Amino acid sequence: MTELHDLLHRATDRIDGPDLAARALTGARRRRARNRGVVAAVAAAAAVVAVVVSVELTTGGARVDQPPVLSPSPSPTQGVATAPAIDPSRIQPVWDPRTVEGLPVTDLGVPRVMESLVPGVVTRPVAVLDDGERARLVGGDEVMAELPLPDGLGDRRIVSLSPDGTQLAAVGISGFFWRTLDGDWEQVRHTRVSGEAPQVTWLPDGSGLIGRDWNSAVRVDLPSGDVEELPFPLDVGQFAVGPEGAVVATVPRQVIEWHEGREGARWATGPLDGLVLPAVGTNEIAFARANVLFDDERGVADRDGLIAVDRETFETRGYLPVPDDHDYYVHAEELRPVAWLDDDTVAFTVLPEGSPKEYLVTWNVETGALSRISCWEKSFSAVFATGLLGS
Amino acid sequence: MDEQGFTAWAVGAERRLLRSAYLLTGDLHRAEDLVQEALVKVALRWARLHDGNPTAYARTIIVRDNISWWRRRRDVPMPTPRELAAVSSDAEAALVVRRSLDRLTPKQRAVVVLRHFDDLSEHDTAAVLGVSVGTVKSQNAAALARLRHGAPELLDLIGGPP
Repeated sequence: MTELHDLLHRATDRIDGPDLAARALTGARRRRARNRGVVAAVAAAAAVVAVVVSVELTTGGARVDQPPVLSPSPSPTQGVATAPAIDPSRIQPVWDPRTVEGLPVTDLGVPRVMESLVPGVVTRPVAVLDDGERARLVGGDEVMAELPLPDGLGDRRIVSLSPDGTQLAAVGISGFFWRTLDGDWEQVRHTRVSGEAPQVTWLPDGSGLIGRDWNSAVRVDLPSGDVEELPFPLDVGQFAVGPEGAVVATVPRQVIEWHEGREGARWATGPLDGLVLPAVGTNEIAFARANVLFDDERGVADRDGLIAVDRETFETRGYLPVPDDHDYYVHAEELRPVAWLDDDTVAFTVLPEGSPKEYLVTWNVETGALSRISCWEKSFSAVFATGLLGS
Repeated sequence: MDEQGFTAWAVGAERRLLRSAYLLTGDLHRAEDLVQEALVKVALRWARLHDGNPTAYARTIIVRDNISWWRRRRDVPMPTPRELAAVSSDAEAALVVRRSLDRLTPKQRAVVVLRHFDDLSEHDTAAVLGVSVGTVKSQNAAALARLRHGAPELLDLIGGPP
């Protein structure tokens, strides 16, 4: 095979390394800074910066406005607690997502098979499907409608549906946009958030959202369109907002929770290893877990999977391992917690290895029971109105 | 972190990794993204990796990160003559290689690149892909058979059946 070897070399002989080493060092420094909870831009001040996100809380039908507080908070001095190891009794049998079709089906008001939808008027969208070329609103009554988007978003755009299904947001190359279900797209002004690795997370009551790209984050108040730049630590991997408005973010080997602008808790993930993609409930958090301690002898918990922990103690409530021989599910982000449906049940998406379809599944973290909710072609990304699941 | 040590390693490894990533993807920009991300991950783990085999780790990251992109990718358009000239002094060879590799499944393509460009053993290729040595053997055989039947122009360039 020397000839093939030579040909492959000849076919790439002009490719040169454009100083990726220096860029990688810069990237690694940023992620480490995030890991320490330090915003790179103010690192010289050695100030620990807390992300402050305020939300309008609905209490007894009356909205209580909590104005945003976006200045850096005093440095938290409490130590970093380490999450306890997984209690072996909490480890459930390994679940192979390739067996998902054999799970019992539960109706949560979402079409069970998104491929068989019929065109029509969607009055109560429960999901948005987007393949980068076409976006569709999906109704709970098996009807779908094409969703026109602002021009120029590009195919790496994010289109998101609010938890109650009444508002939409879209982020891409041409900017950051939102609309009500019946309204027109409006561009969010005064924000630099755009198409470089965008992420959009709705505040739980739909009063606003947090948009983020690779180097900036904003909180957008709706419907005023007011924008607050967030001093978001650059190295935050993913974040989610809890029902009461707290922001929970993952950084390498740590999880940070902010309440009303102050760091409320910081956990070293310790034996839980790499926790990513949080979904925050009232008293619990679900993560996808990557077992990254590759130099230890493999133990019973040394496998990738879904994990549910108590928000106060970080004790594991349930651990659902999946096959990780190919480092596929968690590393490729094909296993994603979506939302808590009640104190014991979390919804997640999974693209089984080799499958043409992606699935929405529920997991009872106490009993280990799994149920199949919906499926769609893998070329589409699906975003659900999480507040409507099961309602 | 020993930044000098990391930089010395990365400067020496990045071109090879980039060429390998290009063969995996057929897209130079995507290849740069993959290598960049792999180098960041190596830098973050440098304390544990520098005495081991950071290149093998980076290669593993590149191949596995490519899986999720592969799944959703659109057809990558064939490169223009200018783009081909940027990657190879032999534009015809570059075009034939690109077309030929596009005929393979993602895993077959990875096996061909790892075995025949990176010169990895079957054992090391299996470790990168997270599969058995037997799978590497069968995928390699299937890939070469597909090239033999589907890409005769490749045979013309290398002077005989692979």
